[in-house]
Amino acid sequence: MSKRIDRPIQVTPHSDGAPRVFTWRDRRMAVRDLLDAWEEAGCWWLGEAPRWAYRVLAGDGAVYELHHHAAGEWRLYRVAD
Amino acid sequence: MSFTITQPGNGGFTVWRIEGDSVSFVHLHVHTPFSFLDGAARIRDLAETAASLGMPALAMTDHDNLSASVQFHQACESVGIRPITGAEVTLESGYHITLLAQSPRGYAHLCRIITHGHLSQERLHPATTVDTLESYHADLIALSGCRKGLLAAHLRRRQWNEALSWGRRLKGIFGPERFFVELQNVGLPGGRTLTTQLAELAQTLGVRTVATNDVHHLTREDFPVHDVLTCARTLTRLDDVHPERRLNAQCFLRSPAEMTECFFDCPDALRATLDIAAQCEPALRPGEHHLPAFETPTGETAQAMLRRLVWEGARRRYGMVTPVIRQRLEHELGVISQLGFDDYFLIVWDLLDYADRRGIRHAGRGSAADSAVAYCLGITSVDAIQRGLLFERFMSLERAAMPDIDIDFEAEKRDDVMHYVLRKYGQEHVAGVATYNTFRARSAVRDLGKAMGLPPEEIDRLARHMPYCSAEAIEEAFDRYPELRDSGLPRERYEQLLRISRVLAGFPRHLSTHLGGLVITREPLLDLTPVQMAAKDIPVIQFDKDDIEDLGMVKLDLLCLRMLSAVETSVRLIRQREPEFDYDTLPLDDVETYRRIAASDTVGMFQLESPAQKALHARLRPDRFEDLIASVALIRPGPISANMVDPYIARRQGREPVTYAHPALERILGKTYGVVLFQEQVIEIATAIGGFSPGEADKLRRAMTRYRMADELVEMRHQFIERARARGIGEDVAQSVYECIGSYAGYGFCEAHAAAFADTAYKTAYLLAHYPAEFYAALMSHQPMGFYPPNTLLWEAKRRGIEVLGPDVNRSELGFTVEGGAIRVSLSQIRGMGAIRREQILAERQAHGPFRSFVDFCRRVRPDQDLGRDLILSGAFDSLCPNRRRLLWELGRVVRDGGSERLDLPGDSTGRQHRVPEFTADEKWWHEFQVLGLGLRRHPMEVLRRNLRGRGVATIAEATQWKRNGSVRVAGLAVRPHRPPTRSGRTVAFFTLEDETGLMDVTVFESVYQRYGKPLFTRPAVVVTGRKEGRNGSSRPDSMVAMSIQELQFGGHAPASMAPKWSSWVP
Repeated sequence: MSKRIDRPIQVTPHSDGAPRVFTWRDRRMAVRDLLDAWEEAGCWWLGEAPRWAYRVLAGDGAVYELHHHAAGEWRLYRVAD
Repeated sequence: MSFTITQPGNGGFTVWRIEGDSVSFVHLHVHTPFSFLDGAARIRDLAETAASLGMPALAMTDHDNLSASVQFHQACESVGIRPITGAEVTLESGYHITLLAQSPRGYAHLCRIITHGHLSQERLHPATTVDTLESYHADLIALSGCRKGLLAAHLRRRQWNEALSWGRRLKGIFGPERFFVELQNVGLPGGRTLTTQLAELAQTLGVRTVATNDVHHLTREDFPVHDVLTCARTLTRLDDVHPERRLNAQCFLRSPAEMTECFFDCPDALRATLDIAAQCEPALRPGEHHLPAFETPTGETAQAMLRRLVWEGARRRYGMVTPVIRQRLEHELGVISQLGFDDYFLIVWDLLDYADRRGIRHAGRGSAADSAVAYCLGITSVDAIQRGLLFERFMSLERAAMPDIDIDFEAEKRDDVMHYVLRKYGQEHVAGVATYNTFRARSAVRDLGKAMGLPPEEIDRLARHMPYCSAEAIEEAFDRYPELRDSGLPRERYEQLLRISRVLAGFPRHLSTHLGGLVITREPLLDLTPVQMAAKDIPVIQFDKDDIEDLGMVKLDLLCLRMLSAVETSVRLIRQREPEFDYDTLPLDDVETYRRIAASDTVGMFQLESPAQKALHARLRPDRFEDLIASVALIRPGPISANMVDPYIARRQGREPVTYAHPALERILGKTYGVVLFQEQVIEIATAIGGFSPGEADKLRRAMTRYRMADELVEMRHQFIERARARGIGEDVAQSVYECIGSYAGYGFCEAHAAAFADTAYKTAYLLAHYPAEFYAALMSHQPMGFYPPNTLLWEAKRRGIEVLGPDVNRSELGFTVEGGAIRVSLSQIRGMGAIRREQILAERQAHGPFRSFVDFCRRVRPDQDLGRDLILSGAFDSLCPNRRRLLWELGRVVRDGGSERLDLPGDSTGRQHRVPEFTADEKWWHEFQVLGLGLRRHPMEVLRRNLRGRGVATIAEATQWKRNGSVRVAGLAVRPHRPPTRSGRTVAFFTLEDETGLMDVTVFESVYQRYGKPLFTRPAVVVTGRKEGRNGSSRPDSMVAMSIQELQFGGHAPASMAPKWSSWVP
């Protein structure tokens, strides 16, 4: 089951920008595997900047979708367990 | 970045080698704007950027077409990189495959594959078969395609075996050396997995991978342009989701370093791009000529047949062939033969012979009239020898450019000739020429506005008010034109649209068919170009007229000229009362004809009717044929911008001495009073003063007209001055002569063309002077054409005392006819009257006699409700039943009952029928105006006249009588408002004001236009206050300069229902 979250979170990335560790509900979770990554242009006509999306398998066995916005902000967009 | 080129390479190919740690890469999957709404990078920008990034080559791969290839080759060669011609081809399954031509042979195969895709499917939905790939795989390299490739699609659906099977099929077709699995890393979901699987698949198949970036725009920042184009293509708005829209901005022209970063783990995929590029030699061979072949019926050579026909024609044209004529014809025949154009001339002769046999009227135009051979063959009607026309303007050995023969045919019968050519030479050798519709201001506003979600009514209003200008100039138009500036549309709302429009200016939007261009080739057309079907169901190549010249193909222009149709119709009508009438032998010195032209009474005459021409005639007062040739040539941007009109008129009338900057010019410019009027004169001057050969001189003329030859022009100018000096001509004289021809050169007519047009112009003037009813009837039968709308022509006829009769189901024909000196309105003029219906009415009338009643008509023709109503309102049944309202009552029941004879009108209890009152005269007029677009009984302004009287508004007839420089106030329909380019760059608007008494040409200068110009382009009728003074000081009584313009408001004298509808009508 997946659940849309869309809330800011703290992420420590690798040098290539992919998430390495993130904190969710006060739990620090290591990224076990990067399943997928893609870029979205966003609504450029409304002034939105592009963002990168990462689908990762975390230490707890759940799949998280993390979005990294151009301004530097990270958001947890979705969780699937 | 460095790379070395070593030759000879593998199999004769160039080999590029990456030296040391330097990085190189070639983009092999690139869309240009010719992917039509799926490519946002300009070709030149792509080539320049690729070169600046150190790429040794670049490929183009548009969707199912090669339209960009000529421009792409030129752009790549200009920056020193190798062009690779390819295409992203759609397969029947809907999946894509990327194909690259390794050689001209591969290019020819690609043409066939693309053509098969187009011709085997519904128009605009090309898709080819795998069998076709198998048939034409040689010299082609195949890349497996983007995400829309079948390989990627199978893998994304986890169909490994199917993917493997498809990969084996492609490997089987192209071989392991020419089939590559395409890897893309463009930041899409699932991309990492897909790339890994594709690499594994390639390994399993035993083929190499190749890295591409599916380039659709030049930089990341250009993504919005591509996104908007995609929305325009998919008819969606930016807010909508559509699978065709790209998720991100990564499909740009990445640098080699960026590509290396993307594919750091697949170095061979990067290396493969260089290896592939090295195996692809340029597919096009510029400089080769592909001339057509004519099969002579007697087995003689084309050269011998052409000579025979020319000498036969010379004896027919000249009676006796003098040494001068013989020498000229031998010279021309020699050049034609040396350049290999004997067959081309025979093809033209043959198709005109066909036209003559079918009675199809034609007239040659353009520089072909510089040829005496063309005259002897009957291609043109201008005697080049008698007029002293320069053959080198048409063809020369030095230039060796493709000659272009343009022939006008009467509009309705042109296709007959075109189909004859197609039949005779076969679709393998003949096709129409394409033209690319590019983004202009209006189309950009409509397409982009829709994509950006602007309200439809705002888009429509903005587009309607937008002048005909480049999409780049939209912003300037907002500032410059009051109808936009004062329209109340919030400009800030359009900022994004304006920004993207600027980028898209000149982008091809879609491919369509050139009006009359045909290419005919000796070798199969598909060796040179793909072919697709045009909307008119004729095959059309994928290149435009400029491209085909560069490809070495020769074009033939078979054009539709509605005026020739009108001439033919006039002749037919005139012969009904004068069977001996011969249009082709009309006297060229008819006094009455010249009198009317000099009086600017020219509405309807070919080339002589515009306000600018009328103003010229008032001053020039032409009284001979040479004057008409000059008239046609003078109202052109060249003579106007070179300020040659006034000196010409003054010298022609003896008010100014005829002088020459150098005595050698007297021979050349004598016939135009020392003024440069024709392109041929530019060539002769360059020869006489600059010592150029005729071919060099024509090259100079062409360079003066082409922006892209600017560098060459600088050198030629230098040569001109130096050579003139060497011939003893002073530098100041040489410079002044050069400046004179330079300011004129590009934008004038050649004399041959002017003479050809003047011939038709004079003859139509003759028809108007002596057979006005027949000529106006013919003009109105062939609308749209000319400068004025049909209602203006109709009222011109009425002002000449010609009665105009309304349509009649028993008397009207397909076109307008003449009955006892009166013009009868045609059936075709009735709104909603389709071709089938009018043919049916005529056939029924012919087969079973006149219609006896309304019911009889309905029973025999069975019109639907709408057509029945329009026929009634047009007055077409007046001769059978004059009460139109009563017929409307009957219509519903007649249509429902299929024309039953019993027609009971509503009645009272005693069975007595109600009397149905007829429409009022105003109502009848308005109905006719709506249904016919003609004010038969009254001019639209007549309806408003009583109200205008009280406001001190004069009729045009009254104003015409008033003295010059007096102030006048007149009202009328604003006919053809336009803003031609001016020498000063200031905006000057011109239009013709029309009321029930006549026409008045109005000039609106910048200050007045800026203040009062809004209604001019947005409202059908205006009130103008101004001075009686023609443009350029013309003494014409029927012209004025506007001082103010107001929208014409409606009073209580128009029919109650008229005002709101009127406001939406624009003449």
